[in-house]
Order: sequence, then C-alpha cells, then structure tokens
Amino acid sequence: MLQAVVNGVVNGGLLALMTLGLSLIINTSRIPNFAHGGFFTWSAFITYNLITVYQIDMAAAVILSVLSITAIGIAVERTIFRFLRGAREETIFVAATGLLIAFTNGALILWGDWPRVIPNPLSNTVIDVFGGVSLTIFRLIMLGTVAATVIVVSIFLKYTKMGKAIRAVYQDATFSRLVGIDSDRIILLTFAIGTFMAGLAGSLAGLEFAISFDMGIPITIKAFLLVIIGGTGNLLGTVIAAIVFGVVDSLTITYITSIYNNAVVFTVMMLILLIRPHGIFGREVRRS
Amino acid sequence: MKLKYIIIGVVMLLTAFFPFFTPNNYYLHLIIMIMIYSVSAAGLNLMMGYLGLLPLSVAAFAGIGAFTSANLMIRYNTPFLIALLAAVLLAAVVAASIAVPLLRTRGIFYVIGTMFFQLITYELFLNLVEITGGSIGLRGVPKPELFGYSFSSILELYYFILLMTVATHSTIYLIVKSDFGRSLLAIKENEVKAISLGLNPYTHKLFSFSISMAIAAISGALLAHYLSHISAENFSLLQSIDVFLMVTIGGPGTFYGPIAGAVIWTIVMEVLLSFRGLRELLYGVVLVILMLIIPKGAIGFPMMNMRKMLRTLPIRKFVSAIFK
Amino acid sequence: MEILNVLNINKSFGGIKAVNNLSFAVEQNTITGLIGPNGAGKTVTFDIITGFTKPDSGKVLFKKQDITNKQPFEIARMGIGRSFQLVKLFPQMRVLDVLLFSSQNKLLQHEFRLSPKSGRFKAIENILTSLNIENLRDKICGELSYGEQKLVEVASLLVMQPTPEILLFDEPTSGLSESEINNIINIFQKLRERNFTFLIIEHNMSFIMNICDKIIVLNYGSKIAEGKPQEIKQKKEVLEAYLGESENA
Repeated sequence: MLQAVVNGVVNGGLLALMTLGLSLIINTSRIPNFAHGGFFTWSAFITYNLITVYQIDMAAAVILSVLSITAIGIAVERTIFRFLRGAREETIFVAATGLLIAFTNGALILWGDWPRVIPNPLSNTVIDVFGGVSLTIFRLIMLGTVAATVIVVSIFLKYTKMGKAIRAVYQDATFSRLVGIDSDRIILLTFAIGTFMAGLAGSLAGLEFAISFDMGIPITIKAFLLVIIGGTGNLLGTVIAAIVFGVVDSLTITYITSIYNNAVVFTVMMLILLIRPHGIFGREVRRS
Repeated sequence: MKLKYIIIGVVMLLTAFFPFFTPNNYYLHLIIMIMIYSVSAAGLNLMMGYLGLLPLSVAAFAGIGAFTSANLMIRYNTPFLIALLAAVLLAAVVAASIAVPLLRTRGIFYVIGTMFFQLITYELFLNLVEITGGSIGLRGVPKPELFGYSFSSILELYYFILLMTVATHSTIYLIVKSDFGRSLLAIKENEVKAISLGLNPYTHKLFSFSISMAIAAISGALLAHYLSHISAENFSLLQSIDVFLMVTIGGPGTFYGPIAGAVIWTIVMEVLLSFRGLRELLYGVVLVILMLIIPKGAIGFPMMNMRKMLRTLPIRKFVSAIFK
Repeated sequence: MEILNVLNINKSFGGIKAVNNLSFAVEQNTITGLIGPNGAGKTVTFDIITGFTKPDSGKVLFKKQDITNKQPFEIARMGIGRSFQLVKLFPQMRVLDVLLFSSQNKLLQHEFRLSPKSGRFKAIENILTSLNIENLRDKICGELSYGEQKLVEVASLLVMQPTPEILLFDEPTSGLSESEINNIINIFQKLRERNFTFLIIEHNMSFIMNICDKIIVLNYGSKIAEGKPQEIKQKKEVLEAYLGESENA
C-alpha cells in the first residue's frame, strides 16, 4: 500500500506543477485557461521528437521543450486571450476549451493515436527506497525537480519585485491597479510562468510515462478543479492539495476500481464544486 | 415580416417534397441528421438564447433519452410513443435533480458543473455495458412505429422524423412566445429587476433546464431509432459542443437561428467526417474564432447577421494588430 | 393605517455599520421622504425592506405581516414595488414586452398567446397613455433616453399584478431635466390620489419639500430626525449632517 501512496505522490507532484501554474494564471491573469493541458501534451511530444528524431540529450531536450512551450504560451496570450479581456468568463472559457481541443487534435494529426514512449535509461533502473517501496531513478529526479521548482517559484514570489507585484494582483487586482502595477505585464508574466510549469510537467511526464494525444485532458480537468476548489489560497496549500489528490487517486485505482475511476473522480469534484459555488474571482459577492 | 413567412413556407415545402428530387438516399440521411440536430439545438437555445446560461450537458441527456427509449423497446417491447414518453420524463427528472444544486452557480461555474455532468454520464455510458453496450454500443434498436405501423425504409423514416421535428419545434415556439419565454428573457437581461417585479428565478431556471434537456432527450431517442446502432461515442462532450456551435453560429435567442445553425454545422460535420482529427481540430479553431468575433464575446446574445458581422471592425483590428 | 413598519433594523457589512437600529413607519396613502447624505444607508434600507438583503436583526412589517425573511420576489408579489438608483430595465427588450412581463400575475397567470384585445394589453395601454409615453411602446429599452427609461420604469411598477400598494423610489429625479422632474411630480401626485403610498429616497431638496407629507432623515445609518418638511428644514442636526455635502439638484 505504501507503494501506491508513493506512486500517488509522484503523480501528485506532476499535478502540483500543473495546478500551481494554473492557479497563478487563473487567479492573477484572470484567464480560465482550460487549455493548460494542451501545453502539457505538446511539451511531452516535443521532447519526444527532440530525443527520438534529433537525438538530443535528455536534459537539453527538456530545456528546449519547456522554452518553446513557454514561447507558444506567450504567443497564445498575446493574440487570443489579450483580445478577450473584458469578455464574459464563459466566453473565455469556451475559447480556452477550443484551444485545448485544437491542441489535442493537432497532436492527433501530427503523431497519430498510438501511445509513444521515450526511451529513458533512468526509467529502467529501479531503486529500493524504503520498506518495500521502489522507485525508478527518474521518478526520484521528477520529485526533486518538482520540489526545486516549487521552492524557486516561492522565493521568486516572495522576494523579488516582480514576484511581489504578482502576489499583489493575486490577492486583490483592483487595489493593485490603483497602486500602479502594470497589469498587462503581470498578466503576461504569470501566463508565461504558468505555461512554463505546464511545459515542465509535460516534459517530465513524457520521459517517464507513455505519451498520447489526449493525455492533457484528464490532468487539465483535475488541475482546474483543484484551483477552483482551493480558491484564492496560499500557493503552498494548492501544492499540498494536489499531492493529496494524487495519493487518493492512486489508492482508488489500486484498491477500489480502475474502471469507474474517472466517473468517481468527476463526481466527487462536481459535488465539491456544487457545494462551493463561488466565482473564481471571488469571495462571495454581496447581492444588490 | 412577410418575407420571413414566405421563406419559411418555401423551406417547408422543399423539405416536404425533397425526397422526390434527390438522386440518392445519402441526401435524405443528411437532412434527417439536420432535423435531429435542429431539435437539440432548439432545446439548447432555450437555455443559451433565452435564459443566458450555457449548459454543456446536451449530449448526455440525448444519450439518456436514446438509451432509455431503445432499451424499453428492445427488452420490454414497449410501444414507441410510450418509450419516448418515458425517456423524456426520465431525462426531465434527472435534469431537475441536478438543476437544483446548479441553481446556486454562476457563469463559468455553471458551465463547468454541466460539463462535469456530461463527462460523468459519458463514463457511465461507457461502463454500464448491460444498458449501453459499452464501447461497442447498442445494436438492433427497433425502428419507430405508430399503432403497429413500422417506419422502416429511409423514406418512411424521413417523413416520420420530419413530423416529429415539426411537432417539437412548434411546441418550442409556443413556449418561447408565451409568458414563460418572456420571463426567461427578462432573467437574462436583468435578473435583479425581474425579481423585483415578482419573478421567481429558481422555478424558471429549473423548468427551462428540465425542458431544454428533455428536448435533447427527444432528439437522442430519434437518433437511436433512426440509426439503430448507438454507443457512448454518439453522446460525448464533443456532441455537446457540436450543438453549442449550432446555436452560436445560427444566432442564439432567435427562433430560427438554431435551425439555420444546425443546417450549416451538420453539413460541415458530414463533410469532415472522414478526416478524423481534422474535424475536431476544426472544432477547436472555430470555437476560438467564434469567441473572438462575437460582439464583446457575449454568448447568448444574438450575433449580428452574417453580412454585418463580416464587415465588423473587430476582425480588421485583430488582423492588423497581429501583423503590426 | 401604518402600511409599512421598519423595526430596529441593524445591518453591518464587514466592519461598517450601514444601518443602525433604524425604526420608522409609513402611513397608507402618504408620500414619505427618506433623505440623508451619501452613504447614510438609504438604499440599504430599501434593500432590506424589499428582501434583497437580510438584516442582522430587526423586523419589517408590511400591512402588519412580517416580511423580514421573505424572498424578494415574494415581497414584490405582496404589493411592494421598487425602483433602483440606476435605472434597471431590460436593454434588448421592447417597452411593450417589458410591460407584458411586468403585468403577468406571476403566481396565477401564464398565457400562451396574448391577443391584443385582452385585458392585459388594455391595462398596459392605459398606463402608457396616462404617463404620456405611448410613442415608446415599440421601442427597445436600450435606445431610450435616460428620462424615458425612468418613465418606463414607473410604468413597469404600475402595471404589476397584483397592483402594488406601496412604491419605493430610489432617487427618481436624479439625472432628469427640470421639465422631466415636474412631470414626475405631476405623476406622483396623480398617483397619490389613486391610493398609492410612496417612500422616496432623494437628494433633490426642493422636490422632497414640495411633495412629501413626512420626511425621515438618516445619517451614518441612524435616524436623526423625522417630521413634516417644515420642521425638518429647521432642525440643526439635519443642517449639520449636510454641511460639507454639496447640494444636489
């Protein structure tokens, strides 16, 4: 059972990266970015391409993938989301859904619908960590990378000028505007950071697990819900929530059932959503 | 005003006599699919165009209608009309039950909540193999019959579905032109004012959601008995988005808009059917483009008619801004 | 008879006390004014009376019935009509449709095909005529001038079924020209003759003095004065409360 928990932590770590990035985007840039998983997917495929077709070494491939995905993310924000500012939430959400569909099926067209695997020697060596739990070396690296990223981002947010500006907008956008923070740059920056994290998660995931064109969809849904349920909390809480979720998910698959797994997950999340129907941008709004 | 009625009359005549002119059955099939989709589009329009909410659960309820009606006829030899009625009632009840918690949600949360219901229902369709045949689907769904007469040839099906479609649209017309339809509009335009004039928003939202999804169930049942072979794949999030696109393209909030949208998008879908992936890619792109060019990105408010829209400044602004 | 009783209402938002132990009564068939500087809690009081906000404590009685915890749509159906500080209409609907909507008895009625000869249509036509706005009937609300919108708002209250017995107006003259204000004064006086009761929030002092039978003065959420217009004009507290406040026309 401990093995299942640890596996859950690994998955949760990836989910945490996604959720963290998405949380920054949704709460600071105010974009209900349902396309988040699209970047995840493409980053994995780009890594795949770089390694198998061009024989680029692993670390470089990861860096290149993440950078190019971030660039794509910036392009998307500058073209599509920037024009949608001021539109209704639902409109932006539908556009983001369209993007996710476009990304997903673009991947389908380019790479077909059979799963790809990136040859990764670090995935083959398994270490016994403790008490019957074993992990591949790469999973350890993944955990390390996730932890490092979270720490770096936290430091950035807490101590740098830009980071503080982001946090200000995260807490209270109106006030920040009054104080003179340039919201346009902040929006762009947070979108870039968020997409960066999605790209990192995707690249890492691609190196350890199988890649398929629709891998971005379930993780988008889960991250999206974690962000919404989490509300505007502190970022560390979001990370912990994601990891807990990963563990619960893993335990459910192992011990209860793997068939209805998705249905159960969705139902639980829907229930939570319905019990906490606040706006993303919100504390409860006083009526009238 | 008069011109509108002339056009409608001509279209109805054309549709009625269409089978006599077509060279092969494929076109009949196309029109049948258009009719079936137009029903669910009209149902969704009640929510999107009149009430101003965006449920993404249309396909789920179509599926509920389809599998209920199909199973009743297959297993229990229920007469078609009764099976249909049961399917519609079940859909309405299910809709009413999830409508209650959804009442408290706003805007995007409503969309997400309904999307979740769609996803959950799809998973159930895939896994409840007893009822739905799982990923293979349900085969041998009986053709519709009335008082013993079975509509089995495509020509008979064509006229039967035409009849059902006209009947459903007429009912929707009555609803829309009544006090109820006006109340929905009032909620969309200014809910607070509507409440201050005595309107109970909860009952209206509940009813319109139930009616809207029940209509979707009708179209699902029609699909089931027409195709004779249905599976979960017919009732996924993509189909919900299909219907959403039909309403948006055709013009939400108008009575004939969804029908026009159904015509346009069904044809687009059929044309792209053979290109897997490309079709869905187009969905994604179309969704994004639509959201960009709808005035102020307002879903549920009638899009300007096509001509005016193409001349709209935002597109020029957009293009020039990108290439700056 | 006292048709409306507000009893010891308290309401806070966050740390701010918007309404502080407020009590007053409105007599049937009178016009009562509710005045006070900006932020004195007048609109919040309206929201509480009409059910859009729940008070922290206290009661609201309408015709001696406790309506404090009722839903706003229920309260509207009991005979309380209200307007809003910023005119609320339905931007894309025609005036006729707005009035058709408003004239539906929400509890009892639901009509599928309304013939132009029906009672509802006639009632609407009467109201349009008496307010002198028949020409607006087929116009879309979004295209009306501000003054026209205010008149349509009044019409929408008058056609309500059941007919409201008390009308709450939130700054009915704000944004209107002098002739439009005179028009409103005429209309209110005619309505008073027809047994309506009024509770009016206003900043326009001459309007209030002209038309009200009684005035209630609020400041920082508390009632600081109550009485006939002449008495209120003299009261020191009222003048002090308004010092520093620019006179609004």
